[in-house]
Amino acid sequence: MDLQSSHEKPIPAFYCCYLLRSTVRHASLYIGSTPNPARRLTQHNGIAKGGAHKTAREKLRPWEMVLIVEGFMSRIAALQFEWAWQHAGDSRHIKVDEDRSAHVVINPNTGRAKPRARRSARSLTAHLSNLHLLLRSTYFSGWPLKVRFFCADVYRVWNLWNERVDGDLPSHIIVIPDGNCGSQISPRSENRVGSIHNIKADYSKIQDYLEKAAFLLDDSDGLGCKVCEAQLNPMDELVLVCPQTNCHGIAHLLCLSEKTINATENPDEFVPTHAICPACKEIIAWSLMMQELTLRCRGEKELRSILRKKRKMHNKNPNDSSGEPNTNSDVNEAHSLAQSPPTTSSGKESCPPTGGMYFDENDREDSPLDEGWLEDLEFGSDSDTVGRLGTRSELNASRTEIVIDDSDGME
Amino acid sequence: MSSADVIIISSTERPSTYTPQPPVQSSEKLFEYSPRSSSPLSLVSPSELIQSTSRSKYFPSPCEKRVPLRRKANKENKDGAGKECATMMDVQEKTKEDKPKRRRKKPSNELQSLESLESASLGPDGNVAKATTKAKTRANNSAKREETGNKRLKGKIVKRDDADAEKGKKVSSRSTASSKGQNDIKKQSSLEEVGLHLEEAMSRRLDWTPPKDTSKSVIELDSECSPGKKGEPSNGGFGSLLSGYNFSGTASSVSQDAIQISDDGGPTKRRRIELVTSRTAPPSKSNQGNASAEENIQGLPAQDKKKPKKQAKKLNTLTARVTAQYITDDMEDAMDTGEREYEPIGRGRSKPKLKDSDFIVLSPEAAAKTLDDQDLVFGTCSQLEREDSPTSLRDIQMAINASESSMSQEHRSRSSQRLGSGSAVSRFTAPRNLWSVAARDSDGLLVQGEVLDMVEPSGASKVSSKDDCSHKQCRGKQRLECFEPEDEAMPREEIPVSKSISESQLPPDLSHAETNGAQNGKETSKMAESQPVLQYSAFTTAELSKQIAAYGFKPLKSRQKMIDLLQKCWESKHGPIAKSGQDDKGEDLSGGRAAKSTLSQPGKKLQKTAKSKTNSKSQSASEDAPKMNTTTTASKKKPVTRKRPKRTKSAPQTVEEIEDSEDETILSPNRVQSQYVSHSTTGDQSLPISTDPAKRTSLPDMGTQITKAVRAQPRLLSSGRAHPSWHEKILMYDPIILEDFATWLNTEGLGLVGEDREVGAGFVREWCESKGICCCWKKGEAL
Repeated sequence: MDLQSSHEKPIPAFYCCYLLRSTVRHASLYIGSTPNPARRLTQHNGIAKGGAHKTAREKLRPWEMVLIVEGFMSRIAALQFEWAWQHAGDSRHIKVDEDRSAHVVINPNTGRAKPRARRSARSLTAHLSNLHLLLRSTYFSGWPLKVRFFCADVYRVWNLWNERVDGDLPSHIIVIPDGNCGSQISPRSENRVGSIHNIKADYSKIQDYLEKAAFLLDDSDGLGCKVCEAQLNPMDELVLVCPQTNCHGIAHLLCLSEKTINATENPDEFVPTHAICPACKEIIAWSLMMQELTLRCRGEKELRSILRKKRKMHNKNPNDSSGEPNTNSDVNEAHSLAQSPPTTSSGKESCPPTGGMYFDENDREDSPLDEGWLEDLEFGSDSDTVGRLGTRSELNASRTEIVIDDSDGME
Repeated sequence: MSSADVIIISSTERPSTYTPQPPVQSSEKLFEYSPRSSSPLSLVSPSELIQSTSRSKYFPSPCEKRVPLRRKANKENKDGAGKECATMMDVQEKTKEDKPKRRRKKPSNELQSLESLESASLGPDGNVAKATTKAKTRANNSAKREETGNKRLKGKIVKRDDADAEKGKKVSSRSTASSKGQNDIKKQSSLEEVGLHLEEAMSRRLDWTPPKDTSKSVIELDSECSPGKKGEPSNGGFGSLLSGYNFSGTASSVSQDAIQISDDGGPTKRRRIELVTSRTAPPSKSNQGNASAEENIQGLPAQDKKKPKKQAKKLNTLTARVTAQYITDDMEDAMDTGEREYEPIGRGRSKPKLKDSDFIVLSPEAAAKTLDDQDLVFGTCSQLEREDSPTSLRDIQMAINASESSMSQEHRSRSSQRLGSGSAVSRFTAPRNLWSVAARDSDGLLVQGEVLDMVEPSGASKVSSKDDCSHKQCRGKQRLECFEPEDEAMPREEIPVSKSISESQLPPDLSHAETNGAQNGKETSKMAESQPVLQYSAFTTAELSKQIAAYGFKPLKSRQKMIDLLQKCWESKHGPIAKSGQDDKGEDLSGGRAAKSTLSQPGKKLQKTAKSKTNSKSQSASEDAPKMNTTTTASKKKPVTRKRPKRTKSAPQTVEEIEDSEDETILSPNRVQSQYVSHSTTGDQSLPISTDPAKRTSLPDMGTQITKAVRAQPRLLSSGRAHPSWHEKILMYDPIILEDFATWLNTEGLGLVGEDREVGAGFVREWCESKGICCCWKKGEAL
């Protein structure tokens, strides 16, 4: 049910897996996933409700997110990656064969070799090595993931590990030194956000793109696929729009993908990582276009609310476009938190030991704009959300918009 | 009670319209008839009348239960009204009116009953006489009986009329009845009647008088019983009154009665209609009828008349009719044979009629018993009918055919036997099964072997002579023979191989089953049947199991069963008609040979195989001779048989051979056989192919097939956005639900690529993960 419903959801604005480390005791690590890392971090630190019990010890607080893996195209994808990272020893995506020998412990007394406990090592290096393995695995290597480091020491370990490991990460997986670790490295400064708290967990990053696409497709007459030259019907067909501001390139989903795949060396590939706009020839991240497409096709209400906010913001503050969405999201969070007290117990089924899954769920509930609705679905709190929606819509117009988003998720 | 009833019933208002009419008519004529109707009432009268009145208050339930009495009274009332309005009344109208009329009538009846208590007392004597008379009338004519019922009703009406004349209340009640009838008439007359009320009623009374006469006359003419009833009317008048209480609920009866009365004018026509409906009606009557036969009798006719019309419309289904019949039977017990007669129309006419005849003579009690018996009969009627008519004939035909076939088989076998070992009976056109069955002798050996010999002209000249004789002897089988030689030409060459195989393989197995055949003088012929067995019997159990598996059957424990099954399969696969027969024969023959050879000369088998090899290359005729020599008894027949079996065998053997080569490398004979088989079986390779399809298909990677399938899925331009294809879902990073995806692949996707295999969700997951496509299980199981 969750999965099916998730099919009808747009690609989340943001979803990441993160490695949490205690600033007090660096050996204490925690892997989780969340659509809103900033809020999640406050939960882990006890500032907000819903932190994982493993991170509840005051001794270990505050926690810090030393790195995040972002770019998951669905909550399921993030959860799968999280689980694989947490249970690297059990994951089918990590070739255990290589490490099997290393995991054998020979008892000096009996001389018998017995497999070491399957529990994966918990050291930072082990986690990083597992992350490296996962990113190289056939399953995850094709995903449009990015790794963002916020701690210089962790990033250093990562680099050291990279030198030791034979395999290289796929070229499209970007490793971003962020926070305090990339000060001396400036090439990718444009990708840096500086802090976990600056990560935009909503669609604000692509607001312009969304607006442009909506504007471009609003007048559907005379639109033609730039690949097959056929007439486009944006209401019935899956149409891609070039994210470039001044580009009017639009194309069928299948047309562009086929063209892109044919241009690559691997014809068996299904999902390209990047595509070249047939109009402006710019290289476009496939995931970005998919995000816009799914939001346009599946999250109409959400998209409408986003565009409306953007318009408002422009009217008020043409220069400052990022302020309001955040406030909105905050409001939403407050709502969700207030109305849906943490359902911590319900979320543990998926991964009891780490509890990361469960935390994630809480996170989702908290962030309505991002993927809160997904969480609601899982917890079966549909009735609550519905009630919320109804009441809110009646009470507050601005909130109603947010609520509508939730309702979409529900449905 | 009665007074209260009368008051209670508002129907009196309605009746007022009609009241004037009935009293005049009914009083005079009806009185005479009333006694009959009253008679039943009189029997029950003292207690029942009161009860009936009380019940009348409860109209719905009591009316139905005691309907007969009430109906009778109602009928009487109806008759009075009906005579007046009979022309006006229609069956439908009657039905419609029934409910209101019943209510109205009830009061009227009650009034009458109160007034006519005296008459009721008189009734019983008359009732008895009436019952007897009625029974007679029934026996005489079912239709007449109905008429009598009408007459009775009329008599009842008369009573009411009398009561009406006597008392204004009665008149009112009559008017109610008449009004009911009019209402029934589809309200056409109702308005007029209502408006007319007293005045019109009077005029109608005048009008009605003549119909009274007619009704009387009709009644008299119809049956003596009616006059007897008429004679008793005075009693009936009281009885009718009493019955009126009972029937007060059943206004419908009045309407029906009216119709019936009209029938009296031309009674037969309406009665006919009624009769049909009467069947349906009887059930309600039955209850009352059980209480007293006489009452039943009286009530039944009226009810019959009433019900038939109503029910006829309602009862359209066979079950309804059947059940209605049952009900009627029970209800009417002694009364209505006519109904029964009508019943037979659908299904069990013959039986009911028979019963009816019996019933006519029988007393009411006996009739009731017989009716009970009839119920049983009815229940069985359908079965009995089935047994009698179609199935029995079919069975007989089947039995005859079977006997004939058996006879023909016997003849065939005999003929083949007569022909001698090499008789040509084999060419029979009959399908294998028949042939095989027919050809088997008491020993279980095939006679056909001989026939086969006859078939082969080219194969063995020596045999041919015998074969010719046999063919001639064989009835029309020569035709087949002509075809056969052509077909055989090809297989004969192969025959040697098969022979060799059979021989080599046979030694162990053949000895078991086929020794018997060899021993018999007719060995060859008998052996022919056993030959197929021999072929398969030559195989090891492992081989047999493999072949059975190749046919898609589950492994059998019994070796013999496996052999039999394989034979059947082989037969089914190979030529259906003549060819199949030939093949079978051939198989049989080969088996026979093998058996014989094994039996006679176990040690020479190897030699024979060698010979067979040589023979296989050369034509069958030359080969046959030496083989024949080797074989003990029926050498002539055997060669021919061998040729055929080889043909047929080649196909099945091909599969077997492959297995043999793999399984049994140790046995040299098997190898040799397999080699031969391989040579000979060139045309039959299809079989081995079929066995190995998986291997062939497995060649293309399913992963690539899935990829192709996903890409081959046609895009839906119209609904692509609402229902994206799997390719589009993948492109949009949708988590692929493995179960759904696998289902689509198996049902549709792989079909686009021409892939027949199916994939499991597990394999699909591997494929998805190899492609980096996010996938998950339906239930949300992580990884």
